[in-house]
Amino acid sequence: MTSASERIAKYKAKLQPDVLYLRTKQVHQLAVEKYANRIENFVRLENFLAGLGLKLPYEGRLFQFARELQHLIVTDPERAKKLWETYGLDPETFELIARLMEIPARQTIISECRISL
Amino acid sequence: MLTYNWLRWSAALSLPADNSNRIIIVDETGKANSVTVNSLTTNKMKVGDGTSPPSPNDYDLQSVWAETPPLPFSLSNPTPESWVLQVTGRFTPQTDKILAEIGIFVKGGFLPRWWMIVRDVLERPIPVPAGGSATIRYSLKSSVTGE
Repeated sequence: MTSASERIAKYKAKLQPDVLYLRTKQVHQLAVEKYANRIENFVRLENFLAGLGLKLPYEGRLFQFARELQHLIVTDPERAKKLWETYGLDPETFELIARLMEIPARQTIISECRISL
Repeated sequence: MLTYNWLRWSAALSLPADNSNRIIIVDETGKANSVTVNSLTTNKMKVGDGTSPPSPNDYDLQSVWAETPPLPFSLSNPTPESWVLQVTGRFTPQTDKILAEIGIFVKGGFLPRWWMIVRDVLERPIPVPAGGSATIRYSLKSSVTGE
């Protein structure tokens, strides 16, 4: 299996001269960044995690938190949801974290844009 | 050959493992929304002259001067891990314009609305003279590498 960088390099090699730019993004990383920007009360998260016997792995590691939560969601979903609500976190955010785990960790999207005048 | 910035996604985008071809978009309040993407999903492209740096928290272009009518997506290889979305826009301004930013939008969600999934800002804006045209073609390709 080739690495993401090898695939990108291979793809770049096929580009036509009028391709103006190319970009890639690790999708789950952005999803986590986006979500992290929206969390306003980290104390709630800290309390929530303490209730689970976990530490807050926030600094650039929210995805790890999501993994740990996902494990609980899988092994004991009712407890996970109840604890989540106990600490005043909204159901939509709970749902988002569950969905984040559906995004393949190694998914890459390559965007190619051509502009002709 | 011009040089352009590497740009950022404005939304989380994935086709999940249940093969429902949904993309997950986070709205202005931080809530996750799910939009189904298939050949019936409408999209549109906007162009503008705004030059503010793109951010994952952008929800529209900075300064729009034209947009396409809603069109269906061209979606090929619609598997959860490998797919291609294509969208094309052609713009013919009546007055001189500067092409500096491009946005791609999809319509969907529980309460359908337009979601911006891409905002690109060109490092070097392109003048489009009155009566001239600019054709913009996007191809978004997803792939998943092994562990």
